[in-house]
Amino acid sequence: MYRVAQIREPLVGGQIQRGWDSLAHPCKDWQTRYPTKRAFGYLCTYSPIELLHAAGFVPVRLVQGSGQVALANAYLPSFSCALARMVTERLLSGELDCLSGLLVAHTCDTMQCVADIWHMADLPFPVVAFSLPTVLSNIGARDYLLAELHRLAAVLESDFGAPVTKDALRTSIALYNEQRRLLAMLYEHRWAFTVEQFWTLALSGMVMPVEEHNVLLRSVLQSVEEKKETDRQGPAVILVGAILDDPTIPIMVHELGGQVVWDDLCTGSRYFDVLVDETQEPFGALADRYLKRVPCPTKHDDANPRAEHVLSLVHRTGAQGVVFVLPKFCEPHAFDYVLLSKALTNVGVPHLWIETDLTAPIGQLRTRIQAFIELLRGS
Amino acid sequence: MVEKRYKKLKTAAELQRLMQWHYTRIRLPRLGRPLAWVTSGAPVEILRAMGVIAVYPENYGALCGARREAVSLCEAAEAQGYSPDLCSYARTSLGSVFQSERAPMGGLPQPDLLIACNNICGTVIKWYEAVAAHYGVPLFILDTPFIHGAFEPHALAYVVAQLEAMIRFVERTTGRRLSMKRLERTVRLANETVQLWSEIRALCKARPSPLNAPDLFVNMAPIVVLRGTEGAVRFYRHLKAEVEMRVKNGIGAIPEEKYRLLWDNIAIWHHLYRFYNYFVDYDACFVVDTYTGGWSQEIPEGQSALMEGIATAYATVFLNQSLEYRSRLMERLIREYDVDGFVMHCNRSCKPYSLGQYAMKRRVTEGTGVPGLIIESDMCDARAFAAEAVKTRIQAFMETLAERK
Repeated sequence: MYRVAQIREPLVGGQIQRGWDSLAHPCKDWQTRYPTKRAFGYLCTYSPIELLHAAGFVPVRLVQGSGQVALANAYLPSFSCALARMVTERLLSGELDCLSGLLVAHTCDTMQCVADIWHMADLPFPVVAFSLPTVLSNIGARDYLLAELHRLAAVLESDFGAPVTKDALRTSIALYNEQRRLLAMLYEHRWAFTVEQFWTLALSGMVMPVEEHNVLLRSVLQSVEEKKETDRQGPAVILVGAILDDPTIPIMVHELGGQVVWDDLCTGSRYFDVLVDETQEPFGALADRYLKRVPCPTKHDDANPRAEHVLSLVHRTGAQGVVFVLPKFCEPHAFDYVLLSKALTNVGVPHLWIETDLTAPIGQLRTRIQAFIELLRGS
Repeated sequence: MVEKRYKKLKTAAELQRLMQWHYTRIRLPRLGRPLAWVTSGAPVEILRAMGVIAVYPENYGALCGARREAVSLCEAAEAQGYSPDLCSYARTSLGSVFQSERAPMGGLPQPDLLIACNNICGTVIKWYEAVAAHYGVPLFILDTPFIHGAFEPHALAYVVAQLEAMIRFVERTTGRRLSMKRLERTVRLANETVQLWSEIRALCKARPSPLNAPDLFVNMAPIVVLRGTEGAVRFYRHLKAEVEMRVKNGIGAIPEEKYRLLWDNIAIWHHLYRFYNYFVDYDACFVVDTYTGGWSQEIPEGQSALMEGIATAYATVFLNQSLEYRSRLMERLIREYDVDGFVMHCNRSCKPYSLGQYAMKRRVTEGTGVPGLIIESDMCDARAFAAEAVKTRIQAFMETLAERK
């Protein structure tokens, strides 16, 4: 069922495999792979990775990964989300000891707590909290965010000996803007890759140096034939949710005859959605990008454009349905689900709700996705 | 009646009258006065000074929980797509909005405007967004950045700017103006309420303690709901006089006080007396808690920068501060109240209050040598309460305390 990938160069194929491995184990062989580079962990798209990069670090995103939770049970109750529990597990197990630091941006109540829990857990590296505003449309939000970015830069200099100059920040911004443009292109050409290849190409950029990822994306995109997709088969869906680093669900959608055509995911389009203005003073430009983006459910914008945004994605991509992929115990997404699903129902767009946790019953999932795709086929 | 094991306070009838009057008054014709739904940590002084009537969905949630009517309302919210894993105050409140015929007192009167402050949690943002969408009324969110380290000057400036925006928002939506004189008077009344409440809590340092946790939980209603009113000041003066008399006469809250405990987190409203009676069976009294101390921040008066005072008081509440800060607070309370052990309610509804408790428990025990117990339950959703399992854990904990005596 997969479309045959147009990737011919074995070098690129090897890089994709390596990207996939490092997503699950970013610290594995770090010293050998990047002997001169220091890794700085982060979790969410509200982390100013340009600033970390300008300070000389490789920002490394920590995703949920897979495995058993054991050590983390002494730190978090059972009603914490899988991301919090799994990252805690991996931090405590020493698996992520290549990190020089860990940045936790303020988003939800859970991230607020784990920032402190990890700080108190005697990890071999410091945990730095970044308290960005919650109400992005607020008066004073920009001034506050700008001051918080400067505070973070000061912490990087004082606690890590890694000062940030404006010139370095401009260079970093340009590099990440290029990555964002390339990712958007990759999304437009996703039909040229298998789901696994697409998934790896998109996500590996969050764990490898941006310079390398940009080279990788440029080379795979060059080898994609210059033609628009004309014969897309099967009902098209959009994935909406939080972190999704496991491709099981999109693979299943394709195996069952559907097509994932876009997403509104923290590990997906929300990573690359808006560019930083390169003509502006760099700190202010970073702040403005956070204020301009469609807010994630943990942020509030008085105009509340999130439902509109999802509807416009549906419209623009011609998707027939929306699959919500929501982590169990994720309050902000669970609240938004009710308002978003109603907005979709109102305009007659079918939607499916999938709750993910550490253990998801795959068989039942397949049946539900199949039924949904059949529903879309019939509509 | 299990409540008999408590010495009933004489002021209980007055408390009941006061709260009944509040819930009656908000339903009376308001002669054009606007009504706002506000979170427990919102700067209500500004609203009162502008003649806005404030009602508290969190207090209403607690009330439904204590009456054991929250589960049916939670189910009404769940039927609308709200996950059973969400905060049970939010589900209770939304359920009362969707199915007011099921709700005690028919639910809260419809709001004209909504004010939410995230100094207690991020949940209130999503909850109030849902209420705003349902009623189509304007919502103002006061954003108080979480304090992992110090309360930074840029955070203070941000909160002050928002307080000013909030005043303009209320002016715009209600057509009312803020009189600084009225604000100063309201702040004075609020501070007096807060002082009295702090003094009452401090009286529990006495042996035996004149109050137990359920007394504190029941009597906290006016500090939340009527802070900044003369009614609240009057009530707390009377309560304080009664508690002072108890201390003077050596009267304890429970028949015999052998163990002094500290409570962390929101009450288990649906089992309020029953739950604490499990401890009374072991002669254990909760002499102090972290939750009812949440309303102990006075607003600095007599300064030109009143807004800075309000901003600081509300942004620095303990739930908006780091786990290290909260651990130090618990350690201090354990010393000041001469506590033998602490019990943490790991509350499925309240992530910011509960997720860090394992780390805090270790830190507090290291710092004080006092053992702690974590009990998982939920403040309003009685479906999450396993009585037998809870009793077994309490028994084991009390045996540990007995060995240490």
